Amino acid sequence: MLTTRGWWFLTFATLLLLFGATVLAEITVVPAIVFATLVLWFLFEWALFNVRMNAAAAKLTITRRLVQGGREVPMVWAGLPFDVRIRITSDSSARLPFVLFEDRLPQVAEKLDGWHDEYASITREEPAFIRYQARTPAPGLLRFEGVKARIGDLHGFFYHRVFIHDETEYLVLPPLADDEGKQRADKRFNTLPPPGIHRLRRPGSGGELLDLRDYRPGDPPKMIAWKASARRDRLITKEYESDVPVRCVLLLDTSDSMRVGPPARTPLAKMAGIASGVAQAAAGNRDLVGLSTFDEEKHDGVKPARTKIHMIGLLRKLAEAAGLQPSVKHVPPEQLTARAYPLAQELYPELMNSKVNSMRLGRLWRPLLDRWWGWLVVMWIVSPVLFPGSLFFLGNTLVWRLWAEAIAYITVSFAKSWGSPQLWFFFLPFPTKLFFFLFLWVLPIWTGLLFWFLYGARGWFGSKAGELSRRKRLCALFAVQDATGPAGIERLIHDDLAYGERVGRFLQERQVRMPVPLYDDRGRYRFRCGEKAAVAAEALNRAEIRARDNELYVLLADLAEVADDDMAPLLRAAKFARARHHSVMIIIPWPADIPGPDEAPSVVPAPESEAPKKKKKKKGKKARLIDESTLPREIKLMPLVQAALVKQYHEAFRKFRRRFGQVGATVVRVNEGDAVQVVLDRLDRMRGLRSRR
Amino acid sequence: MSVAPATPEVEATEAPPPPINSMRGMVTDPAVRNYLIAGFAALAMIFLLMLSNNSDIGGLLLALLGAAGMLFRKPAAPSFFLLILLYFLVFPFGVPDEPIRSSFELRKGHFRVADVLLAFSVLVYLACHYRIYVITANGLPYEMRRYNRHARRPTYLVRTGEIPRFLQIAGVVVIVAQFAWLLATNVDADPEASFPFHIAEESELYGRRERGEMSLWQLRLLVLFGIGFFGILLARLVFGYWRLRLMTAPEGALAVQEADWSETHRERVRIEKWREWQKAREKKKADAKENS
Repeated sequence: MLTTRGWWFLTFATLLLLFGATVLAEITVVPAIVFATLVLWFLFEWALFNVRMNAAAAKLTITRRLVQGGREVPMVWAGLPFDVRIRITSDSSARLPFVLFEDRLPQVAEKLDGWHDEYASITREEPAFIRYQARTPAPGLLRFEGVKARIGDLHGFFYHRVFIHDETEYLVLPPLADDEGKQRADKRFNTLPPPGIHRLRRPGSGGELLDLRDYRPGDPPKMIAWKASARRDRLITKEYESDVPVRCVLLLDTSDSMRVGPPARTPLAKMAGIASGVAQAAAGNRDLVGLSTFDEEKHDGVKPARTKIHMIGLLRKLAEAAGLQPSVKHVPPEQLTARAYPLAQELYPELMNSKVNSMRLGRLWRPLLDRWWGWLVVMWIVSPVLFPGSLFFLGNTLVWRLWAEAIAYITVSFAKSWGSPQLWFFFLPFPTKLFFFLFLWVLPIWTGLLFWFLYGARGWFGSKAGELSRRKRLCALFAVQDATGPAGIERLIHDDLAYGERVGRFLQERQVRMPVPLYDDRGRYRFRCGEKAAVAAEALNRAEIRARDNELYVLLADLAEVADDDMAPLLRAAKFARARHHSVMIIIPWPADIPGPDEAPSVVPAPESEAPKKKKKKKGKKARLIDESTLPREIKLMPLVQAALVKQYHEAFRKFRRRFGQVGATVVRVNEGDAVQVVLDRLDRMRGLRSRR
Repeated sequence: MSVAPATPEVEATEAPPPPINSMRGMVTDPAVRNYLIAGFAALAMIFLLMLSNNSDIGGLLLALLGAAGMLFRKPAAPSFFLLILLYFLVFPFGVPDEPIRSSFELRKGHFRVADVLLAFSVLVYLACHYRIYVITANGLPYEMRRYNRHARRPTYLVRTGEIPRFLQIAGVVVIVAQFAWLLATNVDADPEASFPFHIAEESELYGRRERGEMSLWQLRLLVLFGIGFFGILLARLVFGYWRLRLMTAPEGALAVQEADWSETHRERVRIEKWREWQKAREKKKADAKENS
């Protein structure tokens, strides 16, 4: 609570007061009176600050409103600015004269205008306001934690920080397509049916004539083609085409590999945006759209429909999917603590306060007996007692005799070298020989105890002690939140997996990105998950089972690097879909740092030994700011590794495209033109192809 | 119908106010200016009081140092100010010579107008200095790296009547301090009495002290410590109880959990170690089974 300035002032004034009241008082009492006044004033300010803290700081409440398009909204649209309006009120009549309120910006939001912090002097009658404009570039979840209040006094002596919790989540829906966007389907054929309808060349109740056939008893008379019947002299019946809607099912991959990346710029967010664009444009054409999300374990689907409520539900589902974060399964616990501890301190200052959530020194003590050799130390300590005991039970053994004689010999040697017949301890004479004998006799005891103490006390120092203290305080916070009690603290301290899972959840809930390792210890890409292909195949099969007519399945998935064996179920599912005259399209997210396969390949720098020597000479020393020969080997190899990775990815993509091309599925890259337009063209073609004769 | 264009000339003439952390800004802004005036007035009073105490150099030095500290926003200025004040109160001429010791100061040194005025002026100066510093330099301590910017108290938060209110408080504090000093210099200790402290007569206190009795400076020290210690203890109890009343459910749960954990952590650590051992054994068994 006291600031450095406060400590200085208090210490200075108190020392001078003591000096003035004791040493100088008989010379002059003025210093004592002046400094007594200053100390008293300081104590008064301390009491006043405490009164204000207790009376007002605990009674701060906030009301948050998000305004978009001139009205308060429960969810916002991605890419469009919205106003955040916060009203901070106090239920106390006590005034906080100097407070800095600061709204904690969500990770995915970008502030456009205004200030997310505000200085205020707050009381019941005078609330404080924060107002700023922000935007989220991609769909997902917008989570506001609350407002931090930094409270100070008028002199800078005291300081207190509270966090006014107001955990609110807003869905960030994918951007709504505008009027132009809703009509993105190009009209290629004049014979296009009305929106939402395409003609299926099967007998039905449509408006277009499909065929003529002989009359069968039971056919309605109105279907009889009288002219044709007259010409052929027998009854002929007209058959009409079926009018069926075009259906599109979007299958969105939400696995970990899609979640990796900077906030709001993950492949998943991008794919969700594309899916949203397709869904809205298709809905604009009155086509039915369904959605199925899948990851490594499960899939979840929404049936195709075209109502407005369905569309809003679809957008909500996409927003939720876009807000997912990668798991932190393989992140080392130290890194998790380093990320989570400051966040916990910021959000829960009252629960992370060292006065209520501390680490005991006893807990940091390193237990010696956890080591097998710790028992040897114990034996060493109790040896002065054990040897006489063994003498009593086992008789005059050789070991005992040797040990006793050794002590006696060293005692005499020490006594001789010391020279004096007696030593003085606390003004009492003590025989030298007896002193050395006792010293040597208890030597194992005190050396053993000293070793024990030094070994145990090592736990109090070093980075491990700090790490353990931080981890314990975090675990105590989680134990309170999960209501697991003290057993939960030790469980999380000891179990790295459980700790990682809990901290990961804590960070994910608060949308804090954790840098996850992309490669494992053996250099393999951690997110090349084959299981998701099987789950995707299952989702596709399920959609096919529900299908009625020719449909379009769009897979928005990161599958380029999945192994061939894992891909087999998905290939089978695609083949099956094609056999049933459905269309399958796969959109692959393309890594930003890898050039497209059709683009010019990046120049791989030749190794130094192969480089032409003449050019090297021509460059001269001045042209080279960094001598490459001095660079570490890893940095020299980096371009080669990168080129190899790019090549490997291109190969994988070509292979993937070829394999799915063989079964009739279309594979496109996400950055290969406008992905939304590609899908809509396909939908349009499906509609148009059937209408052509 | 044409609309008259906005007149940029008028807007251009309104120059932005000078920054508050500049001397011109301090003088221009009414809130800071008022504190400056109050601080200068206190320094002037200190100068006059020191002058009346034959310490013209001391008064001048204090006035100059105090004024410079306020104008240039030097956080260390009050410390030097207090040290110089102490020096010139003991040696008014500025020359360190052998001071005269007498019990007169202790006996008659209460509620002297000059002392009261000096204490009041010093208090006002220090408060003005710190308040100006909070407004113009930094008011909140640095917390984390990303907050490392100056958090100044904006001048619009300075309420009207803030200075008069402070002057009233300062007056009360000065009077209370005088009473405290009166108490400290008029209390005697008697360990054999049922209550070991009592207000002593002047002759009893400043007469010859018997062997075994506490000396006067020890007595003053004890009384001042006692007042400070028990005063703070009482305040801590009151505020502590108040804080307990305001405690939220998670804070209460944490307090109980901490108490439980601190008593049982040894046993829990032991249990967790056994769990680890069990897991390791199971893993070993599973590996062996796989290999076979």
